[in-house]
Amino acid sequence: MSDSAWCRSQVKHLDEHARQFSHTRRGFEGACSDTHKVWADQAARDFQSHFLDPLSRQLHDLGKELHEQVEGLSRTVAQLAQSEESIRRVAVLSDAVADSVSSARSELFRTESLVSNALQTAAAALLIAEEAETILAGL
Amino acid sequence: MLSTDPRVLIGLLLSLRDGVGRVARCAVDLAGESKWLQLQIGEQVQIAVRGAGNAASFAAEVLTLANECDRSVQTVTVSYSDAAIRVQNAAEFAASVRHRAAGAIELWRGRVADAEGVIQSARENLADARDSLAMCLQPVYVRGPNGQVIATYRDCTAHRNAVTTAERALSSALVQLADCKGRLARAIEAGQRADVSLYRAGEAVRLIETSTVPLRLARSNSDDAVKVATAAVNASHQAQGQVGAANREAQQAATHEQRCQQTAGEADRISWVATEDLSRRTDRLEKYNRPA
Repeated sequence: MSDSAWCRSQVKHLDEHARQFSHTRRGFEGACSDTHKVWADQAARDFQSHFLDPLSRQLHDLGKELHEQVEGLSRTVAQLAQSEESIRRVAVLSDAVADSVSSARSELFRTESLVSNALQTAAAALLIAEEAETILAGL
Repeated sequence: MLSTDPRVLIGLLLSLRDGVGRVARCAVDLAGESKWLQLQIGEQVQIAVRGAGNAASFAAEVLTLANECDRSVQTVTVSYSDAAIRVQNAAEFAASVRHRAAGAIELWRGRVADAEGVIQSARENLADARDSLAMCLQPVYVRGPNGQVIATYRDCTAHRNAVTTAERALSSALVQLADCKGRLARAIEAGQRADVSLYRAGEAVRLIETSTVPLRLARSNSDDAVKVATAAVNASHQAQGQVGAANREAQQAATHEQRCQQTAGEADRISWVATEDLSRRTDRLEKYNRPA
């Protein structure tokens, strides 16, 4: 049983005590003189109004506050768990981006190398074709 | 069965007093536990705030990286397109030269054949002219009425001239043939060079075509990187939002904790008052119940 549940059970327990006290007081009235009946009645009312009622209210409010707080804390814990998951996802995604960029750079390097070779070869082809053209022009 | 014995009533009051004390202590304990939880969660929130900050920084870095990669891909794509055009131009130029060389070879082969025909004809003409000259060189006898030779003569000037002309024509045809053969040889050389150029241009075209594969892969990887980096930024924003919400929840819980502390203090105070009250009433009941 949690502490807040124990608190609520204690409030019920005190209420039960209060009812028993009231019943006992009525039995006590039958056995005592009128003066003592009046005194017991006054004692019971004082006990109920000055002690049991305010304490019950306070404890009830306390239980409610604690319950709200526990709910708030649960939400906080859930938010933190989601936050951790999001942060972990960012880390995983960052690694994936780094891998993709690395692959892309490698492929770009290959492309640049092939394009450079193609340009050199095309330049050589042009040079030879120009020589052939010069020969043809001289015919 | 309810008891009417005052001692039972005293027992109940004492039990109530104990219960009140326990509830008050429980409230204080709960408030303390709440405070401890607040501290724990506060620390977790601070860790999460730092984590979310780092995540945002990572996400921004990878987005920058992915965008730089994308720009590199764009630059290389432009270079590739430019190179492809230049390679294509070179291939077209080589093909054009090869075509013209083929035309020149055909032309000069024809001219060589013509020149050879002219030479053949010139040789024949020369042979004819020489034959005519040889015949001309035979003596011509002029005889008298009795058959006696009274004179001889020969006039071969025209034949000699014809031989000279035929020789010159043959010589000129030979020079023409040599010239045609020289030009044909150069045309063939140009054709061979054009073949080499065409081959190299074809090689360049194949290299450009081959380079499309890694370029496509690079583009695909770059696109993936940008998409994933954008997702990382979104996840980072999500984390920051969640941390902000958790922070607000923690602050709200701290407010509740303060109210619980106040409530616990109030319960404790009431407990003490009740305890005093119960003690006083218990004394009076015991005094009443005491035998005279």
